[in-house]
Amino acid sequence: MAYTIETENLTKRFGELNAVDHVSFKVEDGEIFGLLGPNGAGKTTAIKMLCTLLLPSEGSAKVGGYDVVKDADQVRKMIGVVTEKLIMYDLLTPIENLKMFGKLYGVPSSELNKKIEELLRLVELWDWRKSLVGNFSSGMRQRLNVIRALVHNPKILFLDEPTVGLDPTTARKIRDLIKQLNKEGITILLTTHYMEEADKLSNRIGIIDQGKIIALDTPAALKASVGENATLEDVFIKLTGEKMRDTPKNTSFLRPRRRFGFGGHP
Amino acid sequence: MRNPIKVLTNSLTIAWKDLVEFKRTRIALVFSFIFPLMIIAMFGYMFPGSANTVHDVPVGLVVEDNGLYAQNVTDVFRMACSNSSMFNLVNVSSTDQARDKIFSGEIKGAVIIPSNFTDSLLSLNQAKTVILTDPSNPGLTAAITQYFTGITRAISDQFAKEMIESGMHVNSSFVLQPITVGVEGIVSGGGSSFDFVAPGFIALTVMMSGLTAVGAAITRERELGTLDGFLMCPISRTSIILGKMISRTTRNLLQSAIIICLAIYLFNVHVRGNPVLIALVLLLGTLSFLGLGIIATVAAKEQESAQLILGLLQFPMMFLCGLLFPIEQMPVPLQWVSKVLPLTYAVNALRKVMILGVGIGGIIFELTILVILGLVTIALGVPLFDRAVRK
Repeated sequence: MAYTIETENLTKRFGELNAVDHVSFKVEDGEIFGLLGPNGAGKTTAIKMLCTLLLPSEGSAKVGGYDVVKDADQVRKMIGVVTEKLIMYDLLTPIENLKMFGKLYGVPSSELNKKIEELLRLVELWDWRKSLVGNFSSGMRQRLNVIRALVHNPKILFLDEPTVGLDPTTARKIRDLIKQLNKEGITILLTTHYMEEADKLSNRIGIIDQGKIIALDTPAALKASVGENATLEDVFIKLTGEKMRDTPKNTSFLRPRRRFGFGGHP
Repeated sequence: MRNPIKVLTNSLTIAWKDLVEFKRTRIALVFSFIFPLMIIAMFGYMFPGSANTVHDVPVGLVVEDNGLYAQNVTDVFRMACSNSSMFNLVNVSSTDQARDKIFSGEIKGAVIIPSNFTDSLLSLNQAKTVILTDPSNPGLTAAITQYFTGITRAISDQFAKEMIESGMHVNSSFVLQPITVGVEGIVSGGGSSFDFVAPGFIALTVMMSGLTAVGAAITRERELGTLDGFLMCPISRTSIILGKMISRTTRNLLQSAIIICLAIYLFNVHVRGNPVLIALVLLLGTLSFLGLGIIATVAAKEQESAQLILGLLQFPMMFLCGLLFPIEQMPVPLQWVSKVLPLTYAVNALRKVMILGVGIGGIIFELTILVILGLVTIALGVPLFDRAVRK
């Protein structure tokens, strides 16, 4: 079996803290892999390293067969990433947004226009193509955010909480889209706090806590390990404990320390 | 190694996005023009017309007359100047040469004793000295005019007194003022204080937005989360910072052009220079400040310290670079400080081009300094940025 994502002892330290602590896992070609964990467990940090946004402190990772440090550009070309924060400019129209990213990914302009139309129709935003993104509802923005990651036909898709804060209808649309993309052969790594969503979508699930992978199996096997009629939520709570993790310390390392910046001048 | 053309086209794509965003932020757009105009208006009206203290300002002395009286007058000028530390008299051979030296900044003004000076006095006609001034520097012009007019008046009165005492029969206007003073600018039309202030504040606007621009833009995108979008693209990190620089430079040039047009229309500012040359000065100024701003922001670990460093750069430049007060009127140690601040050169060059209509030859020194500064700071700043985002 070929592996699309392979990590070996992947580690990220922020000062004293091991945000991701010697994590090793493999994602198979064509599967949907769910990465679950409490807030601040290291999911986002792990994804950021796989997406070449952060350099690992230790260990290595390969995405699509390329090393995320040495062949960062090759990795970037193959992956599409839907981050927690929207990567969209409010003052641009959907077409302008998508066109800019398409160009930066080196998509030839003849293909790009067709691709943009196809994607906008896919998420039912074609009628809104000429209004500014700033006027969009959060559901519309999130749909746009997902197709932004698809303009360059990536083989691998990273989805960091793609349905957070969406109404059930939109969330289902996004889930359907994820399934459809997976059917088309895209390997997907997904993080979410919705256990049902993870259960329905994922072929396999890894649970990460305090920077370490503490369980990794198919949803069915995970549930069976806890007991009959157990839900994925039961598994999650049994493994990670009842204590809440939203301490300030945990959120502080989600985003790396700001290296520069200051207020603007008119 | 990346394809440099790709790096450039990618940066243009990013710059295009920035400019579309800028075009659509109406309020910021309007205020970016109102701010400098307001300052020009404020300082143009309150600008002090006279000069209080000047030190060792070089002033040319052109003596075109070999006669006795011319000799006497120059002796008095020399004596007065050597007794005070305000002006240093420099011998200049002709009026044309004096004009050239004022253009190049070698001297700040000149006193001319014309060839018919002694003859006029001997034939009992009014004689005239001429003070040649630099309208791009009204403060100094006032000081020079005041000083040399005063001395000439004194000589004139003394001469008249001797005439009367000697009992010579002369006409009354001659006795009243045997020696008159003419003041001429090196370019036609007098310089208003707006003429002096406008280039300074256009340069200041360019400096301020240049220093803070790239850092602020990057911080904004980082806070929005959109910077990650660029960082995940298979493009050189240099394209990102280059794109930001291109959009900011375009904005600055556009903004300056509109401010200059409005200043001409609203404050009757005279612009004599070549627009292309003005644009060149502004372009080089912007680039040198951009580089400096990138270094300051990347070198600082957090937002706060970046702000402090930039404040430390901005405030001395606002006051010490000859925006409001001519540098020559400042205490000598501060004059040294002004010589190491890049804004001084941008302001000087801009003033020479805008007010005096100097060609590229006249500002080659200032341009060289700005080019060197821009190249050095950008060469240092861009790799620093690359390192800072690759965590």
